[in-house]
Amino acid sequence: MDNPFRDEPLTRSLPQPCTVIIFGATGDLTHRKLIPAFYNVAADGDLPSGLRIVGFARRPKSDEEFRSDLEAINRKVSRQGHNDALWETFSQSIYYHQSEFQDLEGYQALAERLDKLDEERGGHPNRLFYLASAPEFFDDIMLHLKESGLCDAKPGGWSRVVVEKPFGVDLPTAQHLNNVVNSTFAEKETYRIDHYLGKETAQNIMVLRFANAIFEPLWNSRYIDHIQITCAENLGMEGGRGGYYDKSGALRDMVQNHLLQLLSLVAMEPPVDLSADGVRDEKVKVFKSLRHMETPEEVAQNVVRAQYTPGVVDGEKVVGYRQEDRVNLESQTEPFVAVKAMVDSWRWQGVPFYIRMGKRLPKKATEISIHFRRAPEVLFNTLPSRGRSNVMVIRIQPNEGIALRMMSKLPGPSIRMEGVKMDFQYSTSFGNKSPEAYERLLLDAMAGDATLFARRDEVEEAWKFIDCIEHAWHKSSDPPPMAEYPAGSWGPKEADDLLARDGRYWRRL
Amino acid sequence: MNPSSSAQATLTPESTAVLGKEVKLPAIDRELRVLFAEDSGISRASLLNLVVYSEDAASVERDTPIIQELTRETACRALLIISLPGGEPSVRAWVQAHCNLTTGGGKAVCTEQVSFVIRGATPAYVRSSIFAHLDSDLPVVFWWHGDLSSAFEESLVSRIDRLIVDSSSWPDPRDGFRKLFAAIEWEGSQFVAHDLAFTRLGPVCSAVAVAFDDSQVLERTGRIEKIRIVCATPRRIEGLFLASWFACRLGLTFVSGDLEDSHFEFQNGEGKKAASVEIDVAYRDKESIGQPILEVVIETDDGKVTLNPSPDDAFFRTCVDLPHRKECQELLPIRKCDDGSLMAAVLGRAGQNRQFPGTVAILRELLDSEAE
Repeated sequence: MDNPFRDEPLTRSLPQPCTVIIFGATGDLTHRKLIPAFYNVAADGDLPSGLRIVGFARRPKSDEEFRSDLEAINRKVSRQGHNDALWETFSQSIYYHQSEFQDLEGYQALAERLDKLDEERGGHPNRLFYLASAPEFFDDIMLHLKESGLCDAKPGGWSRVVVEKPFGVDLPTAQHLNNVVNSTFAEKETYRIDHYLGKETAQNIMVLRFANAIFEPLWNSRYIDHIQITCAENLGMEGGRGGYYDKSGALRDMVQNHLLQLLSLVAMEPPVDLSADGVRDEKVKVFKSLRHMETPEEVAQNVVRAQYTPGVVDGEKVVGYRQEDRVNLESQTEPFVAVKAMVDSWRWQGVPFYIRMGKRLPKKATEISIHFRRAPEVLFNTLPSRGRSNVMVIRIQPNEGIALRMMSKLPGPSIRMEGVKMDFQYSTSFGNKSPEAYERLLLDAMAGDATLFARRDEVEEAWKFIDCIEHAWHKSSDPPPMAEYPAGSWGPKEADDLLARDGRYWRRL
Repeated sequence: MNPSSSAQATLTPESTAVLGKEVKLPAIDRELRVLFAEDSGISRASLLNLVVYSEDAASVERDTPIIQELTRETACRALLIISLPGGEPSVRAWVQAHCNLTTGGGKAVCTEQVSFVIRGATPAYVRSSIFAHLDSDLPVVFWWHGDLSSAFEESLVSRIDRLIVDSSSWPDPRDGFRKLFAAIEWEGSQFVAHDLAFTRLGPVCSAVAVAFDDSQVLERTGRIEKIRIVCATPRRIEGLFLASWFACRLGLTFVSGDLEDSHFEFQNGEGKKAASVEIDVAYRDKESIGQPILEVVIETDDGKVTLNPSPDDAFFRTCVDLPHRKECQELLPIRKCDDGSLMAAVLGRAGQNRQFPGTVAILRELLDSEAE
């Protein structure tokens, strides 16, 4: 039965009342992202009535202590500021449940507690389990959710799971994780979160392409020369993240998920509808069309990996990658990677997608740039100051927006041309009101809308592409070399050469 | 607009100082260019044309700060038109920029406001001042203060994409809605209508919707017998609007009522399944600023749902009283109800305002109702 007082079902699925159980409740993700996201949703008045949040973690803590810890962080990071009155009300729906992840009795006690909460505060038997713990606990958590019966939907309710990345470290581990998750929850109840997909600019890619008549006719190999996807970070391994990162690297940490997801949104065909599977079916086709690099030679030809050496970033001297805290002195992990990927489809035949991701680059920026083919070499393009190609830039962060570069005549009696930019910025046009990615994704998970979550086959197809590269690096007898670049530069010369060989260059950010 | 403030203020050099630089009419575009040429560290932006029309001189000082605040979230070219009676027709104009820093304190994003004070005006003066200064290709959002006067005519309305009125400021709402709906029928009309009196009900409507997200409450929708609405005395039209909204959303048919007593009877369903639903609107003295609705009680055959704002108007408290279940929640924040906040809500939400026409159709029946 539809709620007759609701007016928005056409544009958005509505979040349903539920209890959210967060595994890893004392971690950074819960404190800095999840709870502030719920709080901001509450401040917007979008939180479903009867929502409860139960934190599950190992450390002993009372409900009050847990709320107090969360409040301290929320005061610092909440997008909408911190309102004491709202927090007071909101926090009354937050509970803490102490248990080891491997302790079945802890889960059984949780089941009893959830039933009791339903009884005491009104029954909404919906459950959303959120895996925010370290990935090594996923197996145990899934197993015990199953054994305790917590994963089973109650009559009239639903039971879903949200899985945080990493979705494995290669194809076999991803398949294992997927098997474990899917033996406990059906795929349609599984929500693999990739927060890049919750960003307004990522969502706007489909709107840009399919809600405007002027772009899609040009969106193919006939008019597009190549596409660049750049994710630059100025940070290194601060805060002890070197320990995790050194086991992962740029390719697995960022390219396999976030950047390939962006690539799929740019390269996909128009979906038949905007349903979750309608969109994801088309994205999967892109992943399946990615040309695999079968040999170490092919990898060496198309991929550059590099580590930063000491340098200067933001006016501060910084150490090289191997000197970073918790990084192996002989590490073969790449904080920088550049990939030339080909999508073997009718639309993208011969159009390279250059992807680069790096730590300790000069600034933080993520963007997609569409480089159009040059105008014919006649008329104005025969002149000495001949034109550069048109470029459309989709800025994911910061300064979210879209820019289009085109040629224009310089004022004056002679024909001289200069590139000019038309620039749309979200903050200029719409103010500073974009919600955080997690807010949108949590609402979607509570509403049962999986469009912005990765499906099993997406993840596995992406790993197939990535594994070819990883195998060449780490399992071949003649691995491609590790390049170097000074911290604070735009990456190694080899990455520039990757494009220069094709007569192209990286866009200057 | 506060319905009680209707005194016609007079314009003085002090009051017009908020409008920026006075310019000659033919020089408006040039002066705007000068305004933005002075500083290279700014971006000029515009998503829409916002026309604010008033026949009250007080609008000069009242609306300029609102426009400035609105430009923080919605970049727009604002045209403030103040049409005053008397004397030979004359038009004075002012230009100014509103600038806001982008996130992180970077570049300033600026929009322009062009203000006109038109004296002794015929509709043609108003129309030409607006038409000559709209930013091309951008939608026109028209905020009409007060009664729909003779300036509200066909050729002006044909350029409007979104019309915002406030029926709580109309001396005769019955006549106001008649004019509004006649305008919707005019050839060339394509505007989406908004009434700030209805927008003011946004928080209470959301609170009702949230209450009915609860499955136990939702399953009693068809068994609602009585709805009692208490609103602040100066907010009479909002109380009637809410009654109409309930009837519209529940698919009720108006049967009879008495506007004087604010008691109305509706029919739910047809034939043998038809059941009667009563909606009462009562009034209680309270400041007109803030939440117009002080309490809503929805009674079913075996329970009730009560909604009321917290004493500081910060949250809606929703209490469910059903067999074996009694609970209250206070989680839905109430947004401000001042004109600026309401305008921001309308501009930020856009859309077709689908609930409005059906609700007003019933509201007009209530306004026409008399005791038998």
